[in-house]
Amino acid sequence: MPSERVAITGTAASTWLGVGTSRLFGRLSEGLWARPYDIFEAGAKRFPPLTYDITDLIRKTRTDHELTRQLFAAVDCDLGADLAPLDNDSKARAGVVIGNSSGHIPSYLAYYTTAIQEGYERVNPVHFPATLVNYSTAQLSSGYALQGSGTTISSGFGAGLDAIGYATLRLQRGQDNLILAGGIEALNPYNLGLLKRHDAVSVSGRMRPLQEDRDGIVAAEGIGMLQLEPLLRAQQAGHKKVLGEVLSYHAASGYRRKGEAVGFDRIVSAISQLLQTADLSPGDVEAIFPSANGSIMGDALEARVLRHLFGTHLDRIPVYPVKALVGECFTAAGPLQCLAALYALTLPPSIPRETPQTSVSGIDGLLLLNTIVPCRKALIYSMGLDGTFAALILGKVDA
Amino acid sequence: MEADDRIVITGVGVVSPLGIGLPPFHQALAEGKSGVVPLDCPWQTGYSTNRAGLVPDFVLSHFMPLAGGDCLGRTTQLALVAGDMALQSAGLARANPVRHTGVIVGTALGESLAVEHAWEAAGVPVPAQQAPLQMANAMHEADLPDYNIHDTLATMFDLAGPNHVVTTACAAGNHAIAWACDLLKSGAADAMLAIGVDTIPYVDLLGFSRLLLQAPDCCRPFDLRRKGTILAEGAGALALEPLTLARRRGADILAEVAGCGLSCDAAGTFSGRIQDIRSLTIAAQRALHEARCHPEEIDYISAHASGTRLNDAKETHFIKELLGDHAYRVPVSGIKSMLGHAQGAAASFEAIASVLSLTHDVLYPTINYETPDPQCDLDYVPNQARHARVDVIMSHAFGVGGNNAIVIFKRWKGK
Repeated sequence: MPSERVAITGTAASTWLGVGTSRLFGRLSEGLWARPYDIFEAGAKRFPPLTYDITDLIRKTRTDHELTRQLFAAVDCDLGADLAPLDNDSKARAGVVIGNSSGHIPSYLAYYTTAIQEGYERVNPVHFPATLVNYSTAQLSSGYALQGSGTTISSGFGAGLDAIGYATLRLQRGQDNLILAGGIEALNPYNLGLLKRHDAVSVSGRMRPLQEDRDGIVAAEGIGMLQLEPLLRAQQAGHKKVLGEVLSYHAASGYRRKGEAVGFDRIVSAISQLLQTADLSPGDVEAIFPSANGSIMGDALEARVLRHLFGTHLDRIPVYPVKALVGECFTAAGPLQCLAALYALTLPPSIPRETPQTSVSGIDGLLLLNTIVPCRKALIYSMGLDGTFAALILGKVDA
Repeated sequence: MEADDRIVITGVGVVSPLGIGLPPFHQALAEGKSGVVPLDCPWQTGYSTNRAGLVPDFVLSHFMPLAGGDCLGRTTQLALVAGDMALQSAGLARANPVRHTGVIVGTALGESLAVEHAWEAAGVPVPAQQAPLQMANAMHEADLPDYNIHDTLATMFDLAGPNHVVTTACAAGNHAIAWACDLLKSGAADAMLAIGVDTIPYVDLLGFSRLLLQAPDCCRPFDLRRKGTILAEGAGALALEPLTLARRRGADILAEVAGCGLSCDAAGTFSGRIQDIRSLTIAAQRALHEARCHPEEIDYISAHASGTRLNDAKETHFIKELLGDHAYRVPVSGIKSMLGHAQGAAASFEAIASVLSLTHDVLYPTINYETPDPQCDLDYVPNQARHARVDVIMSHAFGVGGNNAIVIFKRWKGK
């Protein structure tokens, strides 16, 4: 990657836990396995009813699109104070890049269903824009008048991490000065249907990624966003809190074709290139935030990949399957894993590492610690059931 | 990636309502033909006749005998054929691969047509408030075709480089070019395909119709009596490489992608006034800066020109504000008048037309232009193509939702 360093100066999140990064971090501070997350309702985990006040943003954008309203709430909760005072010149160089592969499908099918069932005259014309996959990006840009590059990426379930990678590239090339990047997901027949086609739905409704008694996936809705800026600008601004930096990004696809898992070599190659780009060796990685979602075959493949890449070093690297907490959020999962990684990167170094005996037993000897401990280099990757793969390495930035 | 290395176009492929392949595409554009035909469909939109720009006689197996090709959605099929043409014409096909070639697909709707078919085949409609798993059962029974267009392309063409889908509505074709250029300049790939593609699902046709953005007869960009756009389908592909690598392997260079500029209106999906051109100016200035061009060096514009009342007036105002008096010396073509508005593919069609203008010294017409509009008073190359040599072309793409992408193409002069 080019030499300009890209910092993360803010985060935003919305999950079944509620709106705000603090809700996610609060649960992480209790411990990833502290509560029995088998309280997921059978089938899927949706956003809770929205109580966060977004009146101002609704007045500006007039949106009644559920996923976009959740996105507004998440961003306003954590980043609104940063974005509101930007002057016009700053807004001209502030962009939004969102990974969204199927979050528009509920509104798309609702529009279609009304037309077929009730007749075209019953379709509300103003609902059409929300059927487009770039709607949420457009609305977020409108809500804060951000006129830099607005982009929606729909490269599958890795698109949330793709968005962060793309935003990093644009910042490194000096084409924007600030970008909100991440992923969003709403449950819909496409992502749920994909789970069914691969026979991957958890029968018990209990998420147990990377554990022997895992029985499948629990789907969930989610939003994960990062605020990215050139590191030098953030440091010169003085008031900005630098949470970490993006060291490298890589993506691959086609590792899974119609249920046939063929991509071991491809994923190993992708992570190897990721490490090479960041000028790191496997031994430099101090924490892994995997894609693991309780899939019987998928988790086994991940364990094999990690063991192949990291060898015996893997016995000492904590592995934190964040989806055990947030569910399988598809396009939003990768960015939410990034948020968990930032939690680890910003912990004071004085917090002691927990002994393995108090952790959860993972397959192939994986170290599944309950408490997230400090680290300096974190590997995050998204391995989608749709065959897409994307990965990032985030690093700590010393003050 | 070496310093100052420019990005050049070494191959193109087109599947359009005016024909499949470059020669028929160029000839039809030069003759001012229209690819808009009555749309024979069961859908009700409130229009007595639906019209669209449709790719004639497209059967995948005629172009690419592909096992399982019927399982692919139409959008993927169109992209495959255009992409294959571009790779072949660039000399980048399987027989002679460049090690690290990738693909960026720009589309507004992806395989939404396939989603509608699946929904219908599953026996729904289902009320929206029904539990997600029940809806999922219905889709599962319908057995959706492959939905990952970029993944399919990368697999079929054996591309090992980056591959992604960008969905910025009608600007997606130019967005794909911009992203591909970024990846090439950063050294992430040695060659890239930038493909714009779309089909016409019912929701799209109905959406434009219910918003009165679909014209009842034809697309008349900049005409006083314009009543909207005409939707279309198709795919356009460009093969892009860094100049150094293209020269090293002896590739034929068609044109240069000199600069790209992106921006967002940030003003609501269909809102805006004619005067609200700040975001368009941001995109143009970024493109000009990257192309190391002054506005006075632009000598031809491939306009977005969708044929809607607001857009055409706004675009004219933007051109005049950007170029000043020079605007009255710059021809402006709106080829959606002939092709219809192919959304994700539109900007790709306009990019390919720009390449042809540079290589064939021709400016394509804006057809259906009969009555001048005082608000739109530039030279729109009305109704007849024009022989002219131009060196720098600015191509506009303004997407629903406010995504803007402007690309500047330059004549390749051999150095």
